[in-house]
Amino acid sequence: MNNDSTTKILTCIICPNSCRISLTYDPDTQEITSIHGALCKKGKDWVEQELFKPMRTLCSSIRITGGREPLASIRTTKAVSLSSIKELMELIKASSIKAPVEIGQVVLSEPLGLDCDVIITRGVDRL
Amino acid sequence: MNEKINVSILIIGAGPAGTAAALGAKEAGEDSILIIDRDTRAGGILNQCIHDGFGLMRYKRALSGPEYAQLDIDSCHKKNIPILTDTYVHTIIKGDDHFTIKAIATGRLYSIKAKAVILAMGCRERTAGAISLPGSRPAGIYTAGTAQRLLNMQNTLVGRSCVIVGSGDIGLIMARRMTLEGAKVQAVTELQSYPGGLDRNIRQCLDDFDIPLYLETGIVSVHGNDRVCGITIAPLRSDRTLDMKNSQYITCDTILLSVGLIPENELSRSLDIAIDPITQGPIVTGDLMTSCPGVFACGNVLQVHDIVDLVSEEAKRAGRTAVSFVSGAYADTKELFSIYAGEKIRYCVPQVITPSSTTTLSLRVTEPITDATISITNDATLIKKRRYSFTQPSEMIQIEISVPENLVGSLEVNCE
Repeated sequence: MNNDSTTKILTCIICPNSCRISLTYDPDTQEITSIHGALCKKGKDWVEQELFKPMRTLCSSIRITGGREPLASIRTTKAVSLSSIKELMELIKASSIKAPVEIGQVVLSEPLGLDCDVIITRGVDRL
Repeated sequence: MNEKINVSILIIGAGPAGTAAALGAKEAGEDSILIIDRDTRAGGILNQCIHDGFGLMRYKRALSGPEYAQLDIDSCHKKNIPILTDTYVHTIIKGDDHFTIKAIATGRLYSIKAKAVILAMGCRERTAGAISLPGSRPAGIYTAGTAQRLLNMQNTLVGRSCVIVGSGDIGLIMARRMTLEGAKVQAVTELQSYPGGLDRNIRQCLDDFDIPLYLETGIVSVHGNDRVCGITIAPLRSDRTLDMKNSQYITCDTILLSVGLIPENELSRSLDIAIDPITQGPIVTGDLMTSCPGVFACGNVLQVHDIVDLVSEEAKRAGRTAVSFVSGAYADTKELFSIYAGEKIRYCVPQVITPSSTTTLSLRVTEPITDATISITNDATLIKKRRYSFTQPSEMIQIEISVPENLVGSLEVNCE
């Protein structure tokens, strides 16, 4: 290993294999010089993303009014940057939806200008 | 009001195991199926598992728990498989050629006659009492799954500042969930030198939010009279005693326990079904039949799974073999051979097998192992060998084997 490269081991979160992927990169140019330990191509792509801009699917709940249950569960349709999650949670907490809601229903469209929707993942019937 | 029902196959539990077992039975040609569940909603524990990552094997995409559950519930509806919710099975009586199942619902008693029963009741959590948690018992101590249900189903955040004891997956998932909802998760503690949950959950639930994980750390005492006010933790010395010189007090109002799951087998025990002391689930054959002919088990009531996709697969198999039992195609004179968990193997399911069959073995290792080789042998004959670059107790390993015709003695599974 030369002096201006850094080695990191990242655990892939894409599937339960939890591959421990080791990679070497140049912290100045942000160039990855080697990747080892990924069982699939997805893991290789993931680790490149994870190093500089980690992305996560946000799963949470949203308040339901007039429903059999007080909450429906939700998630983003795509992974969003980890750094945007806090602000997205604030937006979700401030929102509420009228029952009934169904799985797949969009409750927030491109929130905060992000490239994703927030959809219902557990339906709630009207009371 | 008393209601009498006659079915071919009765399934107890409408979680991922129960619904998949029903679909497996239906696909095998059985039309007379009934699923009973004590909850208001079918779907079992998945209803409160709102995080994603379910279905990666089966559907090649990451679904949340409720979405995964709903797919099989919808299939049951489409195939006219009835699901009786809000109904609690309290007794199973074995008759000569059938079972009588007694169940109770609001204002109603059921007496159900079935030719076969599939157990799919899932598991429940170990509690503060089960681990002899030291210190007082104030309000504010919850199992992680209870806190998850309160938060995700009933909109109740159980505390503002919490310590999670045990690093099982539900604890890790709750560390993230509580953080997202505005609580401060002070730490996760674990007695072992390795986490109880999957590595991907350490990364996305703890590391993402800078929540510290203290491995090889025990609980000295829980503090508080009316409500939890703190917890004292200490690292373990090599002799597994608490190193009090390095103990630390953490102020918190809530403690979540994520210290393991126990298959829920009260009904199975009432039938005198043999239980494996390690898995705490029924001892089964490769066909997933328990020691009581006609009673099958699948999902977390059989063995605690780490991945729901594997639950569904196992349950479908139980559904299919239950059909072969009720149709009379099942030979109960099959000779049974034991399969033993040997070196570095914690358990192996099934525990008994029949010659000339194909069987999926589920097993876990006793400790984290790099470059593991798992071999299945009969006498000195090698039946199958599999290599793993890394494996640990939190991962269930499945190996499909063809059991030879001429078995000598028992089978043994070893890891090196």
